[in-house]
Amino acid sequence: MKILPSNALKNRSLSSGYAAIGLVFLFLLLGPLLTPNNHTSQDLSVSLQAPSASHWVGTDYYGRDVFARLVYGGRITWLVAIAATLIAVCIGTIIGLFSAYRGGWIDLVVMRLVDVMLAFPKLFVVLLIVGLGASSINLLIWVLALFSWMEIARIIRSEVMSQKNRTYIKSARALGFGTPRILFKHVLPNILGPIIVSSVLLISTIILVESGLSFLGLGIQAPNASWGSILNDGKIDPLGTWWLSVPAGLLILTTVTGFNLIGDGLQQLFDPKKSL
Amino acid sequence: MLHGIIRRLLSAIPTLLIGITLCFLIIHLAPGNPATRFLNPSQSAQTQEIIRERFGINQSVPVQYGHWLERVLFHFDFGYSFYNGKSCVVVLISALKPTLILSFWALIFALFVGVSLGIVTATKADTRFDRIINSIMMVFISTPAFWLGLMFIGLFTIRLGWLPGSHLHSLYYDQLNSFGQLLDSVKHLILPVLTLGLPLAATLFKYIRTGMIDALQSDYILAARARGIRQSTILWKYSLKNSLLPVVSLLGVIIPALLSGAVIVEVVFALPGVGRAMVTAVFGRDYPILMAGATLAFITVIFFNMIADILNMVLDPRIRNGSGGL
Repeated sequence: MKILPSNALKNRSLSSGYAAIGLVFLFLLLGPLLTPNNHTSQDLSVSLQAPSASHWVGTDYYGRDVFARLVYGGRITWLVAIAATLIAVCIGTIIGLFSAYRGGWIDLVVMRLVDVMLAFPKLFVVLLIVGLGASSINLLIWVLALFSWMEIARIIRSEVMSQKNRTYIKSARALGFGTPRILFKHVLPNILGPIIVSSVLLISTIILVESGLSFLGLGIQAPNASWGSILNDGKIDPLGTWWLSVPAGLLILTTVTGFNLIGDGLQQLFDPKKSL
Repeated sequence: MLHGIIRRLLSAIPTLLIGITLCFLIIHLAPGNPATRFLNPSQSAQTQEIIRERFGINQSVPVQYGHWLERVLFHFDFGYSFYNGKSCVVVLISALKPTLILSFWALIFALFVGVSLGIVTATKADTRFDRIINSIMMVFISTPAFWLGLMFIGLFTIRLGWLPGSHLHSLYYDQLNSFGQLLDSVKHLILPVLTLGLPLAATLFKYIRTGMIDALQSDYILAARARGIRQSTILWKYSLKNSLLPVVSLLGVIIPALLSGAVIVEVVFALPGVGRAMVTAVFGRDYPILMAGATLAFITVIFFNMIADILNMVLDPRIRNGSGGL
């Protein structure tokens, strides 16, 4: 496949995207080895301290080590985004495939539902649902996924529509293969490119929504951290307590830019004509 | 064309119905009924019955759904806030002004910056200038609005003291003359508008630039050039018109993004808008407000989608005649 790093180096978007994501990934992976501090243990005697030898990125209001919080918070942010994206991609793929392949009134109804769900401002609905339940990480993942599958479904539908009448599908049908087999074994591999591109871009979108929610105090709940909630801790004096507001913001920015660059780069590789 | 417009208007009806139904389902499929927060074991059975009746939760879900549909569709009534008993529509409409002002100027800013930079970079595609602007815009697309807002407040409000970082007016607003009031409002708007507008400008920029590059390479531009028509005419009259069409369709993406973005920006800058009312309602478990807010935001988006499609029909002859297009 063309998404392997060796070929990617020729594509500027892709190589810088891989570099950004690789760096953040290493930080999240190796972070705990670098610091003996725990991300939830409080020590009020060192409240709001600037970076020092014992606390590399300073401490927050409760004296918790910000470096450890950035590592564990980042892991949660990534986990939520990737899990929600995977669920959304599965839902979107299945709905898009069947809607397009069956056509007729099923397609009509499903696409109308997609239009309706796309018209909901995502944050408003998520606020509504998070307001209803006690916010847990599981709920957050499912809510984000259930309001993110529509674009994938739409892309898949239009791709399947264009594949549907090709000869290889007709011959598969002539051989007597069932619909699921044709869809998953024959159609799906041919439209994998656009699915990968939109999933990667979806990770970015979900990270932005999740950190926005956590920033508002509605996503990941204390004592757990997410990059958004760490930013919220630093909101009183953003530049005064810069170790709370700047590193977390830069990590979100790097991650989102990284995934966006990878998405754009892959799009250029898969389909040079359609690339933005 | 009239036929097409009427058909488009009619097709919005099922969409609206499905959306309003979804809002109802979200509340009622969630475990427990919101109104039960007013019930507690120390109340007498009679009191509990009165409360159940008052909130209509003694009825079956389909009956409740019928009432909700009737109230929303025929009386535009979304119930009353749990918090202060005011009508939800009144509460949200009184919060509408800051949201509208903020979104309007952010949209104008985004259109101006996005379109002009998009055109300029498209004519200089693959130069160093194009690459630099492209990278900057890539960063702005990926910047979380709340972080941008925090950094603006930290720098321009707290460190430099140049611009106010919260509320729509200063406390002494009433004592200023009309010019002073205008200046005061503008100063309060600059940072929120930039926070909401910059990421949006970057998104628009991406679409305009791609559209322009496509347009500039197309046959009709080549033909216009061959006829010796001036570069500026080609750029502003021919290519721009065609690359602006997708922007009209983008309204369907822009409006939800503006509404969601406004929630965050209003909280960061303490503006008393719809978004902040929603967030306050989440913390106060004020479900009628949340439900009304989500439904009204949905109706707003549907409305603008419809406007966008009709505008497209008016502007694009291919769609008008039903012979292709989008």
